[in-house]
Amino acid sequence: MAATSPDRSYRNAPNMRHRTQGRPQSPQEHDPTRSMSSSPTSLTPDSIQVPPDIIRKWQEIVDLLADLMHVPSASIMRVEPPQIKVFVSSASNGNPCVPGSVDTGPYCETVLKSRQPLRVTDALADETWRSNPHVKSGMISYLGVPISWPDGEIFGTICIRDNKKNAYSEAYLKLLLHFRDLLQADLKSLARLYGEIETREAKIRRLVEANIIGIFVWDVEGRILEANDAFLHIIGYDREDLAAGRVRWTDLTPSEWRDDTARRVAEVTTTGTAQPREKEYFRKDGSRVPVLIGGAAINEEPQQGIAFVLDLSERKRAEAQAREAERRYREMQMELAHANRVATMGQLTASIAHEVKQPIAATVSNAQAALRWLERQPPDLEEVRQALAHIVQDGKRAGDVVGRIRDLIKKAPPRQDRLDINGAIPEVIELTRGEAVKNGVSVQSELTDRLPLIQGDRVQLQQVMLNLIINAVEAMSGVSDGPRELLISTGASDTGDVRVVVRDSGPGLTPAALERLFEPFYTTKAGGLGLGLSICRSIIEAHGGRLWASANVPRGATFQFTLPVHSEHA
Amino acid sequence: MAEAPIISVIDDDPSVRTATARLLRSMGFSVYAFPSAREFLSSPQLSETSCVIADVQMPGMTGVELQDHLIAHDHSMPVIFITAFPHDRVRERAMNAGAVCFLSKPFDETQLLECVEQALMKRQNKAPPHGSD
Repeated sequence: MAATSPDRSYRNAPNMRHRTQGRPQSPQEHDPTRSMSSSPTSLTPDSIQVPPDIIRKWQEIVDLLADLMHVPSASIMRVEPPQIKVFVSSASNGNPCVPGSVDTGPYCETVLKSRQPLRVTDALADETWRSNPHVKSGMISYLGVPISWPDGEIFGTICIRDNKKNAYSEAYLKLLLHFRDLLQADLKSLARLYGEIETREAKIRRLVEANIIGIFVWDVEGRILEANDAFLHIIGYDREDLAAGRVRWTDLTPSEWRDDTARRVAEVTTTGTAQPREKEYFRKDGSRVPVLIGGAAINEEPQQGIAFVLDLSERKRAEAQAREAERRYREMQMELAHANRVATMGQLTASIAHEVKQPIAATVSNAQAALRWLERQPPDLEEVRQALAHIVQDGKRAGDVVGRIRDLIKKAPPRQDRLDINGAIPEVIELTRGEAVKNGVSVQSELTDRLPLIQGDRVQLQQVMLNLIINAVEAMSGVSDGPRELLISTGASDTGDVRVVVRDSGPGLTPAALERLFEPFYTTKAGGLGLGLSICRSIIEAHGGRLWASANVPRGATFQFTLPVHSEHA
Repeated sequence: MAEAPIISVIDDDPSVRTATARLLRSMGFSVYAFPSAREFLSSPQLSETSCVIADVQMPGMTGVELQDHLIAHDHSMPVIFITAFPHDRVRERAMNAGAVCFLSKPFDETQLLECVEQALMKRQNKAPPHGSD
């Protein structure tokens, strides 16, 4: 029957919109196969759900209509392609139209096609209407008008039917049209509301689809319900994996991050959000990706949340590169410091090495000659006496050379800057950091604030610090067990001087070493000249201070020096 | 009684000069000591010398310049250098020019003795003085 296969031409072509098959998904029905970034259902009037309060109001309208017009049936029909369905129907006696049922008759279909009111006074008397399902159900007269959405698209009809002849006067039509206008006003506000939602959703969709950050919807069970391409890209999975349920955030999270992640999930469910924090995910290939992740609860779904994920790989790489550059810079600084140290101390030592080596060489030769003369038969004691006399002379000469060096330092007066010793120390610590790290030494400093200023040569004092620190680091590098700790502290001494202390946890010093440490050419190092500490002491003494060493408790050595406080009148 | 080989020691430092000479004498060599290369070159011992032991750093003519001078004037006696500044470049140059040893101060008697013996052997293997070389 032609009447039961409705022609969809009642939809005006210009108003036709693309629509998806079937009903749109409700927000609760998640389908992981759906890409968050593929365009979801666009809202059309057909997809707009009429809220219950409006439906209740419309119910009152049709009930009132049936009552006013004394007819058994007043209904609102809605187009639900390809059908027309009874949307709301009066609760009046003898009404054959049941809400939700398909309207099979041609009356409403005619109204929808023509977009004009239709009045059928007596179907039995009219060839056109005589044989239709409504007649079979007893409804032989009809008055109906179309209902439109604000954009002109057809919503459906509002109509009344009677089981007897009914002329439906103009007043009836006017009344029907009046009620129709009420319905259309409701549709208008409904459309506006949905329009706003649509705009907002479009914005959110834009955010998700931009794929600038990874976004996914998770639940407390560990499932990932939806994800955008950016997130899938970060973790190296594809949409098929997601659809098959192979991607669970619990599995993506390395074990050491599980506790933290559990706390964050709790944070989302209790406070509604989780502040962005760094963590790691396993990629599909097993590698790890560092990410920044924040989260928010989904109001309607207490067991779910939405997460925002930023891939930090690039930044981490850049940071690592920066650290590497920094390390190389430090190494270079260290080399420079070494070079500098060698240059300053070395300049002195090299220039004196020649002078010192001469009497030493002569002493060795004289001693060996003396032994040979003694071994002769008979021994030539005169030669031995001469050799020994020369040895004594050369020994004194070597001592004099060193004395001259120390005099040199004393005589060349250091620069007399007023300085805060605390300001000079961090630079030296910075310079030696690379060396300390290389030797596994942890360096701590405890600098006492607001120490009085001292007067002296910043660079010379830094050289002393450098020597003491490098010595300590080198001493500790030989320690195989126990911590390697270096503590540099400043403070005031009992006599009111400024005191700098360098403590290490190295092998410490024997009593014999403690006694001879500051003697020139005394060294415990294979390649050392034994001049560093001697010169350090000369520098400190030239500043009017003292430098000494003692045993550190429980282990290691302590070197400390004091410097007199700068006096305004000096 | 065989005549002891003559060794000339040239060093501007009196301590080292005397001590080296004393050590060599205790070893049984005849030794002459000179405070400078010039004094050695103008001395009658120049032609008698079997081996030269010279400091590198000396005012006036350095040890290496002395070596050049000896070669240039066909004095083919072997040279042993002793120095408190053992620079690789100087060592290389001296050794390339035919030096027997390049010793750093302070040196040991056994080192010195080995070098002298090596020098005297080299001297013996060579043609007599003024021989073509």
